[in-house]
Amino acid sequence: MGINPAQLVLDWPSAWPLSAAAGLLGMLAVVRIYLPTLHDMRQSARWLLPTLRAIALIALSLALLKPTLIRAAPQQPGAILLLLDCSASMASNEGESPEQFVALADSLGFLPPGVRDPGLQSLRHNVVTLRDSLDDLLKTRAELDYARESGNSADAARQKVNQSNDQFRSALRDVENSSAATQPTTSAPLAQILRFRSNPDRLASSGAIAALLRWVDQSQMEADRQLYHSDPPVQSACDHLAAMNPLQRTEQSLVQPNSGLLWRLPNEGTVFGYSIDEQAWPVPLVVNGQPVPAIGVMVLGNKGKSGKVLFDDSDLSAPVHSAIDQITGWDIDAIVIFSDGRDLSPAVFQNGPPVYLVSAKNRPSMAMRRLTESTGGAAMTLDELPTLPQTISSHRRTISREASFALWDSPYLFALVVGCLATEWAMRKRAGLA
Amino acid sequence: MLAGIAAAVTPLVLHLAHRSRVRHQPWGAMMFLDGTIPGPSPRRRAMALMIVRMLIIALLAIAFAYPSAAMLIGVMLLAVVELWLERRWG
Repeated sequence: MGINPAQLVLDWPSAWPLSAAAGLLGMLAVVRIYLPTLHDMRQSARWLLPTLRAIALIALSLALLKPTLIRAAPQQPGAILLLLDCSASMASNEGESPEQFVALADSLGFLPPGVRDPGLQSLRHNVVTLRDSLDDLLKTRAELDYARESGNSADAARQKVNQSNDQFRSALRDVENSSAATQPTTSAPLAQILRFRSNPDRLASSGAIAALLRWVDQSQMEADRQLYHSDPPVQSACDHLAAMNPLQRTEQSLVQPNSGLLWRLPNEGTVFGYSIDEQAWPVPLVVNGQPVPAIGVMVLGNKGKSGKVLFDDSDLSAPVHSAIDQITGWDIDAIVIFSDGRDLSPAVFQNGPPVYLVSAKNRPSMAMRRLTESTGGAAMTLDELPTLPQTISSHRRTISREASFALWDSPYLFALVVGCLATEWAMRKRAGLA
Repeated sequence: MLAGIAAAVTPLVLHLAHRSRVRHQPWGAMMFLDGTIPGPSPRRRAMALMIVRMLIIALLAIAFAYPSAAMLIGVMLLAVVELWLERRWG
């Protein structure tokens, strides 16, 4: 087993004048008060006794700086928290047409392989990557400007800008290539993106990427509509999904053998499930290492399990935090909230692990996308769920857990100080001193 | 860390262990010397020093159990006072 590098940090570095003064006072006392009393002792004891006392006093004066040892803890995967919104809105459809479920049917493996053209899906993925890399580039540029203005070293910020720029160029090339492979091959937003390729600020303000994303979504919807009407197995699968309510579709996306999320999540780590209304209720998701065949949660009209009347715009932050509180002692790597696509309270996203918001109805709003991304998570729809295990695994590789060990109030320091003093007193007694 | 207060018996143990090694020899002329040494008697001095040492360790345990800079500085000052007593009575 390798030894993790440790780092010594001072929790109260501003106390150094106090620490230095206490140490100097202690040394002065040892030299001026203690040494003259030992002139009759053997040479070795004459130095050993004040040394023991000096060690004890210096250790105490250094303890004032509150030194703490920090080392990387062994990498152990944390828990994944799956939360199912069981409020009343999850029991009702909003007039979705069956052809809107082609993507979900495809992601659940209900469609024959290859029946849905992967070109547009690939283009959408690349456009989303381009959008994220542009955001990242603008952010790192702002950080570089700030570093220059504040007089800090800009080298690290400049390096980040270069990296972000490379990623942006690469994403731009991917969009261009995947667009060329898609029919129809040209669109006005794409032409605009290519025109502003060397000016990220203009590209961001033009809204061309959002427009291309809308164009891709509309093209995909049209392609799905044609597929639905031309292919009876596709029609059957979509009708089956359309007959379900959002909560049932969510459950299907979780437990569907081989393609459901529970089957695709990484084996390491633990998955905790909760149904949430006005409170959080635990639901078993994995039994004996196998995903359950059905979750069995349901919406109880417009009332929660406790009988309290639920509102569709109810704030989910309380049950989310309640669920987090119920698994204390675990590091949480990801929180996945299955909801109806409504906007959640910002309190849900504060000071926690990455939050992934999965909408069983509408596409999540821009505000929810920003909020989830601020936690390191993402907002998505049910049909995008297959990408989630990979995203969580990638995030887990970036987590570095640290174990801190306070040296300044540790039993070891106590034992050192008491040991030095007791040895010194015992030696004094043996020498016939007080 | 409060259990560290138990370590405060160390000076008591050292004191008792040292006392058992000392053999008292009655001496008739001692009565003339008893009143000539100023301040407390040697027995009282040893007791006072032992109590100060016990106090140092007990305070140290409390300072580690409820960490505060004031307590640590208090322990250090007490250790310096104990040095001064050792010099004065040593």
